[in-house]
Amino acid sequence: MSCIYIIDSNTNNYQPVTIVLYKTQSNPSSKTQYRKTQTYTQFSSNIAEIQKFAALVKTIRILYQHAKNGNHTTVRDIYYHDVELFSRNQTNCTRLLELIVEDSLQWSLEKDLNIRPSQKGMMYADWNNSLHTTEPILIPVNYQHLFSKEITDNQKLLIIVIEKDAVFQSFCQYLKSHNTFQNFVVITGKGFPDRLTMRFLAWLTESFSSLTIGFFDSDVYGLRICQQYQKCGSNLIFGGVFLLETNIRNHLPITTRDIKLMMNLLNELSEKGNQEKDNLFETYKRELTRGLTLFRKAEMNVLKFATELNYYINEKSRQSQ
Amino acid sequence: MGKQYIFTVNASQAHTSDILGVAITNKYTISVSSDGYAKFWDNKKDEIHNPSEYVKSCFINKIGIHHIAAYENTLPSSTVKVTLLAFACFDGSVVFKYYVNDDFDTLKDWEDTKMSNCWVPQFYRDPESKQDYFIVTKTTGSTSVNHLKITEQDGEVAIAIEQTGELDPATSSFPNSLAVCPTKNKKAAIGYINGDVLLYDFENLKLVYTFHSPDLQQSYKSSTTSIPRVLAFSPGGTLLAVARDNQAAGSITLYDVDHGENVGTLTTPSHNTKSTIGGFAHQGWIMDLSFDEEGKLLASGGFDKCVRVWNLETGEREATINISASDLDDVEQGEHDTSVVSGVRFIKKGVRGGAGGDSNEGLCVVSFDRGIRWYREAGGI
Repeated sequence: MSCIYIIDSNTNNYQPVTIVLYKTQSNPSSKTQYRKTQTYTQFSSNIAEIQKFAALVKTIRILYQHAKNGNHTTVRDIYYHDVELFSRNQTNCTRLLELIVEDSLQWSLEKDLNIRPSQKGMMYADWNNSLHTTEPILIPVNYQHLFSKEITDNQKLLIIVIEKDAVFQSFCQYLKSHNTFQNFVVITGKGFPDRLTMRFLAWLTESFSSLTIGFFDSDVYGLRICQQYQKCGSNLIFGGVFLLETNIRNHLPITTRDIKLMMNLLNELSEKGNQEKDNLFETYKRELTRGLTLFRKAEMNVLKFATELNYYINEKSRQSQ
Repeated sequence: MGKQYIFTVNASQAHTSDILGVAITNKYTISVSSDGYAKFWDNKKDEIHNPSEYVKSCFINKIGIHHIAAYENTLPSSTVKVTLLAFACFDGSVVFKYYVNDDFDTLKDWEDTKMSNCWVPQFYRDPESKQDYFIVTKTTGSTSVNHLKITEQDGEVAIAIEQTGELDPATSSFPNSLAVCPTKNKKAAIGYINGDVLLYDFENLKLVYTFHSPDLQQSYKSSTTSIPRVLAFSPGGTLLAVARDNQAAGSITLYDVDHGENVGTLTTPSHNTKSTIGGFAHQGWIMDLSFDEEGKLLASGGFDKCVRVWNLETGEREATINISASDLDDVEQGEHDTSVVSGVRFIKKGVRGGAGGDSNEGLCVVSFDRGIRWYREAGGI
């Protein structure tokens, strides 16, 4: 708490206010040390600095009021308090919040102040009824409390991870009208997953006996997203789509930039140690080398995907039992 | 359908991953794969043998190999025959290996020059034995032209590759295919993923002709749906065959190298309404082309799981060979194997051993089902 110093405020003899931010460094062998990170002066000759000063004061004020009422809020909500002040860029708002709360005060935005990034990840499960909805929903922040009792342990939980929102929506519509699976949850992070989606997936795989199948595009972005999910659910099965399984009529051309990214990912994968026996590594490598040989990529097809996915998941579930 | 090709031997599960290229040298059929290995299959065995018993294997690169180029020459004023191989790997490197007098045991690395950001390598063996070349397309868009000099002294082979210039197309498109004319006219054709094929004089580093993609459906940015996937010069150097994607089909266009004219396409009769423009040669993309020794026949293979042999005088098909996993001795297939033809090569008379090898040409076909198949032309025994 003692890390933000406001130097002076003598109303009689007005002096410009300077805000100095210190970063706290705890060293087990010695006492806590403070390192000066940022200084903002009220009457600086630098416009950017004045703007930052104003943003900082405003943010401290919002934080103070928020801490008083103790509600849950999102970073985006704070950003919309004054968009101009944050130069119309949410990253500036996020950076300031992290600077004040996490770096200087050593508090957690989420745990101590109930400020979270906006939810991006969506989920749809057959136990959605507990939330009185049959539609896909944003992954709730307090998922542990909501779902712990809903998921039955008698049957293996089927977790289906889908890269894209459009495919996720059409698949959920399909599941609604076809009663194919029981005890399932479909998740999408709408592209690269946010932390909440990743934590939710990690919680599901750790807490319940489950089977996780992921569906991503067969291109360098899809594979990178798959890698991201793999970090929190290591037993993730890469279900597709695969380049040679899709009709070549639906393949898309790749650009020179894609080629470079694919080569970089291949290099990166091979440098991560001896992964030759890793199945997922082999799958990535096969898709990337095939993509580089054909100069094509395959994306998931929204319409055809639902029925094929259904068949594939049944097949994989059967194999894993 | 004038010709028949007889299946002689095959190697099933020749590699642990997709086979992406094949080269025929006098002694070995050399296959390369994304598993990172090059395999040397002995050409000089009897017609009936199990190739897998005589194969030699060499690890090249852990990320995998996508192209191979081979240079064979008996050095002037010497009896030493050198076979120099260039393996293009997915990390952009080119690995050189060579052996002498068709003896695999003499296989050595040549590491004097490190090459990076490369894609398709090709050698040019000067028919007048004056100046050989090594040409390689780069991922940066240009193409590197190098002098190749191989000498021998007291049984030791010395190789020198020295860059003499670059062929720069002035676009940022990726050069995905390359062919070097084997005659003395020193021409090289380079295909770019924007659909263009540029014909260069690589001795003087000059652009000679540009063959644009005939595709009317241009896609976004610098890529196209009609990639010139493979290029091949006829042995006489007069024709350039270009295999382009024609939506989901493949077409072969022939160009006159001297005059820069489109002299025709090779097409199969079709009632397919899905192919909007022109005829096509295959009902899938074409992955490889190969001229026979005399330049009268052209073999093509691709995604429709067949190899077609074309008569270039008539423009008609001489033969169609269907490729299927059931051809192979070991029919057990991996989950993602498919019999898409990834490479086809004519084999000159006298290269393969066994009955008919001396008098008949042959074909070697590699595919994504990890099989290698050898054929020879029927008759003549």
